[in-house]
Amino acid sequence: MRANLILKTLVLAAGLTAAGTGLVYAATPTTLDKIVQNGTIVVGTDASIRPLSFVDPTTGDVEGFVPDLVRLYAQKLGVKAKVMDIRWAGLFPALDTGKIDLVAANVTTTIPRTAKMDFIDPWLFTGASFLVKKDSSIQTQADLNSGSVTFGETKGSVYVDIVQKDFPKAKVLQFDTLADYTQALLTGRIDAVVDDSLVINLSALKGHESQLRVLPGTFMPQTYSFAVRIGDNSLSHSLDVFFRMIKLDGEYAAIYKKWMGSDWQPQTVGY
Amino acid sequence: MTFEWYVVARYYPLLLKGLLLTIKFASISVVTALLFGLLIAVLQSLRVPVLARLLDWYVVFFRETPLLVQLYFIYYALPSLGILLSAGLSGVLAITLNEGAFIAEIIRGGIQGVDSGQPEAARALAMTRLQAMRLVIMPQALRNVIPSLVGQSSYVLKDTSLLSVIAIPELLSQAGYINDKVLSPLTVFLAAAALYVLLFFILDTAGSVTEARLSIGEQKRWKF
Amino acid sequence: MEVLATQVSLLRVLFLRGLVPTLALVPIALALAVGVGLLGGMLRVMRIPVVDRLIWFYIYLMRGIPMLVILFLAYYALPTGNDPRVAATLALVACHGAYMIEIFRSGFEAVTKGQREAARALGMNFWQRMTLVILPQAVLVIVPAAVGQLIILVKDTALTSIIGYVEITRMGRNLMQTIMMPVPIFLYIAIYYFAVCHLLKLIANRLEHATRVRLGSTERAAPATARAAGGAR
Repeated sequence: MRANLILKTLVLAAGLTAAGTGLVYAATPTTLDKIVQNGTIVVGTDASIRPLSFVDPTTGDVEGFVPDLVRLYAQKLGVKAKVMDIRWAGLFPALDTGKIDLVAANVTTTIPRTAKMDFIDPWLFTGASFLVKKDSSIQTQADLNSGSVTFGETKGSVYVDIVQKDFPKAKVLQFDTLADYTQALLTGRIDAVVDDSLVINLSALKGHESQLRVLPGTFMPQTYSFAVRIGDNSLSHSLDVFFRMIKLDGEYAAIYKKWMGSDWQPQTVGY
Repeated sequence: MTFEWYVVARYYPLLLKGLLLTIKFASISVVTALLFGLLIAVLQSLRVPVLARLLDWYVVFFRETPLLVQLYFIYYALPSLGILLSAGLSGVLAITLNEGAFIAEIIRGGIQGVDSGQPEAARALAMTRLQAMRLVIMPQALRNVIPSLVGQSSYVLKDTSLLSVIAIPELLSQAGYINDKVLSPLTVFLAAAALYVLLFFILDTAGSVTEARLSIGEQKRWKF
Repeated sequence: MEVLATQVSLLRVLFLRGLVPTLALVPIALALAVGVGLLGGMLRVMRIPVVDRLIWFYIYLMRGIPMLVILFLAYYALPTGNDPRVAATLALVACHGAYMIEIFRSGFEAVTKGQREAARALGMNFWQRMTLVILPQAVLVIVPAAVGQLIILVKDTALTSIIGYVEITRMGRNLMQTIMMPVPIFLYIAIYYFAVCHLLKLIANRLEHATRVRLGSTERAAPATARAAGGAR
């Protein structure tokens, strides 16, 4: 009689524990679950670079290559996309604190950053370009490694350290925005700028072609990736699948052509 | 978000570098602002015909517009008018013009606070206005306002943090740079804040000592 | 002619779109800062040992830490802080609230001793004394100083552009990239702030004038005590 009771109690306890654990497990939704349930994905981008991501002055909406990709993903997932314009430096804290689910920006993929976030497969391949004044005496990359050269970079850019490493004799000044360093270059406060080729050609150079020029050649291949919180595996896998699919079926190429103006050439690595 | 000590341990040299630059800019700017403000106040008090009016406008304008905007103008706008000043010079100039206006007001208040019998007596002794100003009025005026002036110099110290926006690697700039590398904002900005408070403490204590030596204040104790 | 048209549209864009963010930020920050000031001021005059020291320390910190550093801390280090507007409001309230505490305290202590003793003699407790006698008179001293602090607060909103709050200074800097006219841009921005601040300054002058008229003598202020006494009974 007693043994029976004890046995029944044990079975009940085991059953409840199992059920409880299962419930807890099932009840802890992943970010992707939450996105699907809420019907919205909240995305942060730094809308300061045409054509990647910028604020349309007439509508006030965030437009560009990046928002188009984000909205396409949301559409395929069956949710709405809320694209927020967050200053670059605020993007990663916003991701950490859960204010946004995804950082969709021209985040250069670097190994140190992988300690703080999970990268999606690259969405864009690029390299670095050097921007100087048209009448500058700098002609080659080697000219840049000199004590008389001052670089201007944006705060938080990977290039701050790259310049210090690759051009140790030159000086680096850090500016808040691209507009600031462009102005500094135009007024002669700095001698050169190195940044992602797309940023240089489409944003910094634009409108100033008569006063600035880009050094010929390609340097330092870079990739841009979107980023999610560390451990958000379901979301990062979902985005990886998304990118591979749209690159195969031509949707990516269409968006690329729309914003970049030229045809997209897939990298031989298979991306 | 936690305070990560390793960041301070590894990057403190950069913070100290920034601190030194902050001290340098603060010291220079305090002196220039004081001298400039003094000059303005004297010229205003002498009521030099056209100049005093212009100075009145200058003081009003620079007191009621933000330092940041003044700084941007000097650094980004002046070059297109042909005036290209180095970052350091731009920073010192902006702070001097801005704080100079406040200091001018303080000193002018001090001048007006001097008992009106004094300038009369000076005139009775056949001193020129300039002599009266230099020998009689200014010494008394300055004594009255030294506490306020010391208070204002702590504002100058805080103003130097704005120099980070024109690419001067002072303390706040360095803190930001370290944060960009290690993504630990609480640590770096608390560390920077602590250093600023330390500098403020030095200034404030110096001010209290000066004030105690100069004035015999009344301690009012109210019971509510 | 075209130059004039561009300038006018530039002015319009800056001023109109600049006013909205300022209005969205300043009134709330002011209200909260005044709240902090009132509360802190009252606490300070109560002279509770530990609390008074803590408040003093808080004010000391706010006097010593630059506004920009407080803004960065609010933006990065607080969980709700990545919204520039929330961070800006928090930072402004924290810093200016401290100064408001001192303003309120000075206001309270400016009420003449006679008033307070009379109130106590009439058997009023702290709250009655505060609300019926001290506050109404202190207000006359506090308001001009508070408006002065408000002017500084408005100027400080320019700093919020650095943490990304889209107000007039940030708009101007962004415009600099597309419209290469830094001189008019920053000049207009300066004029904008000047207009707002000067308006506030004129209001402050009016209030200060009214204060001087009102606080002419203790006899003038005495009716407040008498009125309050009648109410307390």
